[in-house]
Amino acid sequence: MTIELQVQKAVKGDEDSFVNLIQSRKEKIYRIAFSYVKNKEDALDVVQEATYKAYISIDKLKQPEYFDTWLVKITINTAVNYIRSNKKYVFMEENKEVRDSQYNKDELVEMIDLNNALDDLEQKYKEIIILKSFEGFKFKEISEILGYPLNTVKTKFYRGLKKIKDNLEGGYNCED
Amino acid sequence: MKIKRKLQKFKEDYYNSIDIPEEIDDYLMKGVEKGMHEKARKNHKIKKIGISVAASVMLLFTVSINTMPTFANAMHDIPVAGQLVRVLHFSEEPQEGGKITDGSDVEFISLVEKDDKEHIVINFSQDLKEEEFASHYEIDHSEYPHTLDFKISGVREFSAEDEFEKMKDGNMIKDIYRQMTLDDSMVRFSITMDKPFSYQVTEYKEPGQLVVTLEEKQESKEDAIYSIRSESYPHGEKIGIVEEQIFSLDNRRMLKDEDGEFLIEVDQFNSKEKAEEKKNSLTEEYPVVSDFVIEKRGTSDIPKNY
Repeated sequence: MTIELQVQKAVKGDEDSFVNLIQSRKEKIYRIAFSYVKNKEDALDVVQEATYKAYISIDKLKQPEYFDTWLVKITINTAVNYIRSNKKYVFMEENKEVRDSQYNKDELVEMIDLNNALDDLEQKYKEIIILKSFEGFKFKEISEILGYPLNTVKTKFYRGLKKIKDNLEGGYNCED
Repeated sequence: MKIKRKLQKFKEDYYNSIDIPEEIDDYLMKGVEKGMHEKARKNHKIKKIGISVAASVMLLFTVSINTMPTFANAMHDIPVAGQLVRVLHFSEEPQEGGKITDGSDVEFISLVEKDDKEHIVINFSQDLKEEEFASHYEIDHSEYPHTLDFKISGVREFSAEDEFEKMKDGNMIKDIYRQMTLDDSMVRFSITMDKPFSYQVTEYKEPGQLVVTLEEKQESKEDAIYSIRSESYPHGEKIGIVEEQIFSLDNRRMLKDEDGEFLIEVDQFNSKEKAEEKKNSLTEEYPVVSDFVIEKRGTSDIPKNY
């Protein structure tokens, strides 16, 4: 069954279609949630809440082709509200995959630097880079998700890239 | 452009390797289940638009709860739209009720004055929609000074805090303040009264609402007490940590002092000697209590700033 057909069925209230859809998108929404809250427990909570919100509002989704942007939008809003309402400090979790990886030391250092540079970015730049470079959304879709005008999204994206570049060239990051 | 290549590599080697926890499916299903409940609830919900106050007062008589007519009469003019769930008596403390929820907002609190009584009305919402039931609450009263303590669970927001200033206009309400709570799914707040009072809690559903009716009580001459209490701290994590250290002591409560700082009280005694004795015996089990002080207070005295 095509995605679009599944979405149409889910919009009409078909539970199985909804579950299949959300199953097929779980890695995407988990990673996005994780990039906001930065630890597993909170990311799982955000995924649960976003799933709930998606479930109760899918009947309002007018255009099935926007399912992905709509779902990511819900996930991001949930994550932002979660951070705001819990007023928690966000603790970083190391990514075991990278730590135990087979990369050589230079590559690893480079990756950690890039990770730190991303984390130093203000949220408004960072989220656009994540959506564009990592999740493969188009500028137009990002403008839809975040509610910024298209030109603002483009400007912020390139500005964000420049900030990362400056950060990487600007010497050492004091974090370990 | 080099940076884009770097990001691409980062995506492949790092971002895409963010571990997806095995338990994610449980969380997805919990989300779906919660959504199913919500939908079922909506479908069965008969829209009751503006059920008249008279009807809800009628309910007070038809629902077989032994309510005092004086309270029933006082219910006129109170913005109640829902159905009666329970009326709790002053004698059963702490008074609890409501439904276990999560993620609610204690959205609004208001004061309605009527027939020499004051009614505190509390509304709940979730995602900007009215909650069907009141969130789980515990209401307790204490003396020295006259205080009503509210503990509401399963709430993550407390919009009603914006209304606190307005609440102080009441004849009986001297102060209302939020207590520092380290549990982020619970809200606690306290109301300090000028005079002795009795109260009654009425809970409604669809929408969930609490009405706490206050009535002045005759002042009887009470002796001062000796309280074992902590030093004062500003509203913040520190006071929360002090409270955690003596978490198992049931009589503890958080109070606001005369300078707007906060303290934890462990217990009250009639004599200074008894208080000292108790303090010494607690110190072994709870080292933090050794820093506590003994304070003498009259019935309406607000704690001092130590």
